[in-house]
Amino acid sequence: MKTAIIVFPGSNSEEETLRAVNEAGGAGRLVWWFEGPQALRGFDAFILPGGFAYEDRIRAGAVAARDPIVAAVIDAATHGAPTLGICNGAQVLVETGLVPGTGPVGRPQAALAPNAAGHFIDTYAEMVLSAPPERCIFTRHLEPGARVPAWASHGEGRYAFRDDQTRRAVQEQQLLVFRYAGENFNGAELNCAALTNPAGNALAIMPHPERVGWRYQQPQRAKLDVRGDREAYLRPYGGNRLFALFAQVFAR
Amino acid sequence: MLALSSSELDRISELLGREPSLVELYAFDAGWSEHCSYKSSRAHLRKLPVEGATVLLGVGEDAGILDLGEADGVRYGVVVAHESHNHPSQVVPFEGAATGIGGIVRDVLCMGGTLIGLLDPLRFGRADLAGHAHQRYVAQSVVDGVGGYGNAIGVPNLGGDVYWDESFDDNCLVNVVALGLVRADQVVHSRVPAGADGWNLVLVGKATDASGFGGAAFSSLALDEEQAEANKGAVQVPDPFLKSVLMRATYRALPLLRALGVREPGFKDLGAGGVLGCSSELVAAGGMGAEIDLDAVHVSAADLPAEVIAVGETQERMLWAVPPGEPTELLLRIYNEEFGLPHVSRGARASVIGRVRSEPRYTMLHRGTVVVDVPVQVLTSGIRYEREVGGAPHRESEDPRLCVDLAAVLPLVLAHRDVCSREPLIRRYDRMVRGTTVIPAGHGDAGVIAPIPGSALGVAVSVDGNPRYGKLNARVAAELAVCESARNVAAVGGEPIGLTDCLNFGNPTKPAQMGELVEAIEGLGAAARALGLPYVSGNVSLYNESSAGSSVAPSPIIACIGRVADISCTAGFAFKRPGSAVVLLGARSAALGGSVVAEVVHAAGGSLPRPSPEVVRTEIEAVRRGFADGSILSAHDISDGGLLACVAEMAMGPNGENGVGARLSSAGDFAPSVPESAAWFGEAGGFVLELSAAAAEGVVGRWRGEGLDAVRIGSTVAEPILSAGAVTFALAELSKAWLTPLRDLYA
Repeated sequence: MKTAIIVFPGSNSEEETLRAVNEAGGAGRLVWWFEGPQALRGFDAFILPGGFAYEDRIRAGAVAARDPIVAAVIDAATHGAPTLGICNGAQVLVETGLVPGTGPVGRPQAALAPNAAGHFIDTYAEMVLSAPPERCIFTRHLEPGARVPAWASHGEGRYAFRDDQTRRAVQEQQLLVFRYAGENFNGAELNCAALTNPAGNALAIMPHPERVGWRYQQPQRAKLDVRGDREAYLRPYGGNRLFALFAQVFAR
Repeated sequence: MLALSSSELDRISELLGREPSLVELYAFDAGWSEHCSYKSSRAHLRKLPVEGATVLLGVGEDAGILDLGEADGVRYGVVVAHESHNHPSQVVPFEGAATGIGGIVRDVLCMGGTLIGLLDPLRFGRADLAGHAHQRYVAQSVVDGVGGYGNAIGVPNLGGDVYWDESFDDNCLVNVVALGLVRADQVVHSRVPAGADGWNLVLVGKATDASGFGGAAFSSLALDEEQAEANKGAVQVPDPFLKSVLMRATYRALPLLRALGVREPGFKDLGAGGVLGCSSELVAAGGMGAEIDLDAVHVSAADLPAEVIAVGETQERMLWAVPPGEPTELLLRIYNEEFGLPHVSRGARASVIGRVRSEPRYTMLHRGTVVVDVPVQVLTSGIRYEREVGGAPHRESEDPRLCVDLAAVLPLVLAHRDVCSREPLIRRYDRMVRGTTVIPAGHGDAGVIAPIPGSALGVAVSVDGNPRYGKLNARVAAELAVCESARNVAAVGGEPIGLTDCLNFGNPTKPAQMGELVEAIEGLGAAARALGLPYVSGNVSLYNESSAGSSVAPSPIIACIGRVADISCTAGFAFKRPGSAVVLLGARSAALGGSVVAEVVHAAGGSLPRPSPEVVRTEIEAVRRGFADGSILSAHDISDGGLLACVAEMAMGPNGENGVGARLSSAGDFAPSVPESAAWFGEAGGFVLELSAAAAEGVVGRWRGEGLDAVRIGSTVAEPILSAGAVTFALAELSKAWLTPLRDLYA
């Protein structure tokens, strides 16, 4: 599958996301916002990377959600195209209403609100798979309850739902794919780190798996046993477990 | 408001042989400011070592470049820039700190570099004291500004440091270091090449507005409370969103220009002196001149006066010099059409504003009138002063004989504002963006990145400078800062290859304060020469004074850049496992002057430890070998809080949750000639090393055979404790003391 990593003005994680996809065996390419929706023709899967698209004016992800190129992504996603939003990309997917998608299209059912602490937080944040693996195409090869390392860097990452009905629907339909394993550092409702849509082909994930996607990026203890082994240090690992699984989607 | 003195005004008329025009007057005001001309410091800065085998490009352009080595047959350089933004940050902390980053990022970009890291040495007033609401506001807003800009543009924070001292109550210090990566054969220079006659000067970025008018001159005056309000207009307005797009457009333009055969474009940041300052330096550096049409400069409002367009310091602008025809059209297309700058920020774009001329004359037109017409060197050669150098105050005295209660004092030392965990502050910065971070800020004595995808080649970097030492003796403080920065790079497994210095001092017209600057430069030179390290970049910030006229603590702030041959041979400072040997490398001393423990127990007086850079060099080499052969599992530099605080930090780890304890022998066993309190808490430099148990005896024996002061002082243990002789601490208690103090300001 050919994967488009879409770069908005203000995106900042496009390069490492592209590397993560390609090292996982995918065929990724950066598509710049100015190339327009027509540039997405021929792509089978889509990633919206981290950053501050359109300066996060109004609300994080709100302006990008109305970019014509995103309309094309949402159209493909509603027809089943694997679609991943990481950090700012997750904010965009939630703003379009695609995720969690429990209401009408175009009407957001959730928001990524400012962190409870009121400021940007940069921290290691391990996630726990909280839905059955088969619920979302990106997790279907993980074991139940799998732990996946990630690194969170955001000011607006607190998942908040529109109302009780949405909150219930998210739980009943098992759309809450990942919870934070440790401290709920941003105050997210249900300790939510990532949500999918009812069809299970889209994933909006706040922390960055690509920032703990190689062995060298791991916390000290997870690289101690390969000290001095440069090949091992440079290999995909940890968060790239998620991308390694994407490969089975993207690299077909 | 002009900062030029009346004698300087006379000198200008003399140089020109006529009265200067208004635009010329403002041009000299910027160009002859301390900020641009180093008029008080240049004669002394010549004493610093600036050459060496690791220098790819020395001092003199927008940034210096160090040789990182080869990856896959390609040689890479690390671009290094180090700046201050002290006065703007005191007046409008958020914007001041943010534009400090904005400016230095352009310095790296204009060398052809890809931005790979930022560091932020900060010095604040006593924000922890009651009644210090403004100091608290500055300390919080500066950090917000650093994060607000750095996080948005997607450059990882690799480190920094922070100190609080009452001498910064009215004048904070906000330094910033930026690193870039460039192929050695693709360096871009801050000058036009030979044969550039007729090339276009293309201004890219934000529309010129009235912000930042008079900035260079403002930053070279003492801050005055009453004028602070008036000076707010001299501070620029940051736009990280535009910068993020400018960076990416520039990354795209560079290889395409090369493909058109333009190997040596001129490319320079617009900083102090604006359009005039930048364009005159860009052409003068190539021995050429320029004609500039101010009407072609894209502006935010039609009625801006000529002098504002000419020398205003609006942010987010850079100037290219490229051949006419295809290369010029390429730049215009990339910036204006593809990346659509006009849609990103109102009025932003790329505009051809003038031409390079072979005759070294600089002319500027505004609405058909010649507003500048001078030999270009007149604008760029600056001015020099021989300031009177008085005796710098030396405030060292006999060391107090302390006899402290270890059990009571260690938690106080760990909770001291200069020792406690920086995590609440650091976690406001993005440390992992770009996906290259190996050791994040706060996890090692230096940050480590692997900036070349697929390569194990790494960069380590640390910044240092202790104001408590600066107040006692500027020269020794400078030497200590150099030694500590180099040790910090070694402590993660890096090999120091070069330095930058930012000299933050008081008023050069006061002989004693000028004396502090001169002594510090001497110390910087002596230590760097002994360590074999060159300075490739630097900055001088003077007139850092309180409203009462006293200088800030003399603050030579040093960055040390290290090469990491193999990132798999690096480590953060946390103890790795129980059963290792804990080894002290570096002799203890009785010196307690400027130490944290002396402040904690209210002991007056004391001397600074006298570093021996030659010894430091051999210790660093020993540590480098230990990392390469795998015998060193972790290392930590001994600094604020001394040996016992150092070991406690290794046991607690960066988040206080490491939980590998240590049992240490009594100080009398390993440092019998030094008073016990000084052995545990004195701040003489050195390393604490965790060595694998199997290797320890052989390694320590070998080091001692080489004349090094190495001694095993204990072992790591599985229990979450730290014991020092007969005193035992629970790590949980120590962590609580160490982790919490900065939460009050930053959590």
